[in-house]
This record gives sequence, structure tokens and C-alpha cells, in this order.
Amino acid sequence: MSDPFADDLIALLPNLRRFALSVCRSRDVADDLVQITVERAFSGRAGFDPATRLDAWLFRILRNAWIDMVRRSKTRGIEIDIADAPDAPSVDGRKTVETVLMLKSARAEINRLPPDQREVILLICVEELSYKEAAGVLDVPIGTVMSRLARARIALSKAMGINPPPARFPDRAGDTA
Amino acid sequence: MSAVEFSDEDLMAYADGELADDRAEALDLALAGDAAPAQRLAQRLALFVDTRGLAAEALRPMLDEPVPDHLVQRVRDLAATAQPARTVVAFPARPAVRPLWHLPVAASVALAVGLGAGLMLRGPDAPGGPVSLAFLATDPETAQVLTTLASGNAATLTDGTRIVAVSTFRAADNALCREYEVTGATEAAFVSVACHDGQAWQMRLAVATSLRDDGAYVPAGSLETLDAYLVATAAGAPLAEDQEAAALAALSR
Repeated sequence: MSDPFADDLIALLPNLRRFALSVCRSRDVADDLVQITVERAFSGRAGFDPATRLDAWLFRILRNAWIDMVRRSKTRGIEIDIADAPDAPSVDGRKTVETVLMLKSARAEINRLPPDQREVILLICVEELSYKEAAGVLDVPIGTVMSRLARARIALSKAMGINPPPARFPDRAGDTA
Repeated sequence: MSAVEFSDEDLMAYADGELADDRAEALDLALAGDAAPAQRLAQRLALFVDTRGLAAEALRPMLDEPVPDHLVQRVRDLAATAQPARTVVAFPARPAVRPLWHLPVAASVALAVGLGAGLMLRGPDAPGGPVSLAFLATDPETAQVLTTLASGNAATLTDGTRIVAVSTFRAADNALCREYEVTGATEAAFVSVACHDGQAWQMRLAVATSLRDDGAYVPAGSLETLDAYLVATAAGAPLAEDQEAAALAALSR
């Protein structure tokens, strides 16, 4: 018998792992975090409001599990540089070498951001949560989310040397990245 | 100078489609206005548009990594053992929280939950007798520790009992609560949640985590029980350090 909640959860496992990895920066700990999230999601599923996004609800559980974990162990997991982790094999053949290198370096720069900036980038730019949803995940006011996110993006653009010529506007596609 | 100023956060919100309509219209106008200021705005705006696309693209390959089979299997197992989903429409305004006693994890752990009632942290036959509960909620020394000790730190009471503050959070009723670990002088250990009712700290939960090494019962799922309790009672997220410090300081006033 199929359980749509479980199916949705399985579909989101890659996103949960990505978020977990960006939060804890250790692959082993990330999978532990995802597992704890899955367990808590089932024991607390009655608390999920289907009118809201399941991924935002799960990210919140995962992040709280991470905070618990840090406080219990009083250590910051082993920090590995996940930028050095092997790339997924599927590289779009149309991408130039330069693009691949730039994305790799962008990933490294995102990983170098302070944790509070990294997580807002993840939630909003990557997972496409709204500011309000991200504020709910992080338990902070929307204003805090916005100031962190702006700082994170300015830092990222500086690190990447992005200096877009004004001619690119109003062509807002912005997907030359 | 343009008459209307736009902050980085305005430009970012515009790039993210989150700027309020009237501000967005004003920004449209400004972007179409005088060449130099409009160019500066557009450049700044491009920064936010580009970084969003860049971050999304840079982290996309991580989604293609294979998910370990055990995680998928765990979801399936949990789904299989879950109670059949009910399709009754709930009252939407009321957050649905599963009562604690419906939680299978909690039920499987002995000696787990004592909501204010007299509670035994060890079996009556365990060597050393039950751990005294007096210090949990009423002992002034413990209360003092709960009010002052920042999470992640430890304190030792005069009788040798060691307390490690784990976290501080708000209960669903907004009471300030602390999760902490207690290790008695006799090596019995448990993790506990106490909440401040405005007057004093009241223990709401204690779960044995380990006992003496002379063979007493060691429940394996104690932290799961704690997790289940936190989920079931709709406990808030752990407070950040500064929030915790402020909330604790407010208790002493």
C-alpha cells in the first residue's frame, strides 16, 4: 500500500541530504541527520500542515536535530571540505570546462561562508523557499533572513569576482552561470 | 540623485520576487530613469540575480548523488508500520499534535516519562536504590544551575551530581524549558526536561540513559523517547545563545 507521505519524503531525500551536508559538512553525519529527520517526521507527521511545504517542515526538523546533536556532543562534527568531494558523474556535455570550474569554485565559496549565511543561501537560492518559509525553518524574523542572505550574496559575488556589465540588465535571465 | 533610495535588501527582494508591489513598481521606474543611477541600480540588482542562479547551479549536482539504500528503506519501513492514514478533516486552526502516549517509541522504553508524578529512574531492585528526585525540580542549587548555566556547559553540585545543560526552548504553552543531562554521584544518568512555570523549575520528563556498569538496565532508546516527547509536545526550536541568555536573565528579574 502506497503512503503519499512516504513517497514525498523519499523524493525529498536528495534535498535533505544536500541541506544536511551544507549544515554539518560531514557525509556520515549528514546521513545520520537525514535518518533522524525521517524518524521525527513520521513520529510528528500529525503536526505537519499539508497547506505548507513539506520540504520546509523537514528542513526545520533537520536543522533542530543538528542543533541538538551539536549541543549533546559539544563538538562541531568533523569539518571536511565538501568542495573536494567527487563530482556527480552527470556533467552536462554542453557546459564548457570554464563553467564547470566556475561552478566548482562557487560551491567551494558557498562552503566557506559562515554557517548562518550558508543555510539561507541553501534554503532560498537553492531550495527556493520564500523568505517567510526560511524564517520559519530557522526560527528567526524575516528581517534577519534578509540581512543574512544579502550579506551572503555580496560575499559570494566578491569571492567569485562577479562584476556584471550593466548591459545585462534588463535581460534578467541571469543564467549565464 | 533619484528621489527614492533602494537598499541592497530591496534589490535582493526584487531579484527574488519578494519585493512588495509598490516598491517593485518604484524600482521599475528608477531602473528606467536617469542613465547613471539606473545603471548603478541595475548592476547591483544583477549581483543578486546572478548569485541566486549561481548558487542553484553550483549545488545542483549534489542532488544527483545516489541516496543510500538504507535511508529509502527506513522510510518504507516507517510507512509500513505507521497507523493507516485517516482522511477525517481536522479543524484547521488547531495544530494537530499526536498525544504522547500514542508514540510507539516512547511506549517501548521503560522508566521513561514522569510528568510531575513520583517517578523512579531505576528499578526498585537496582543497587543503590532509586535516584533521589528531590534535586530535579525543587533543590535550589539545581534551580540555580538551570537559571544560569549556558547550554553546552556543565556544572557540578555540592553532592557530586553533574549537570550538563543541553538546550533551552519554548514549550507549546510558551513556558521556558531546558533539556539537561544529569549524572548522579552513583553513576546513574538521565536526560531531563524542566520548564519554568513563572515561579520555579518543574520537571516534565526524565529518561534514564545509562546506569551503573554492574549490570543494571540500560534503555537503548532514551534519546529517541526524548525526541518523540519534543515532537509530540510541539516544543520550539532550541534558542540561540543570545536568545537563551536573555530568556534566562529574564527569569532572575
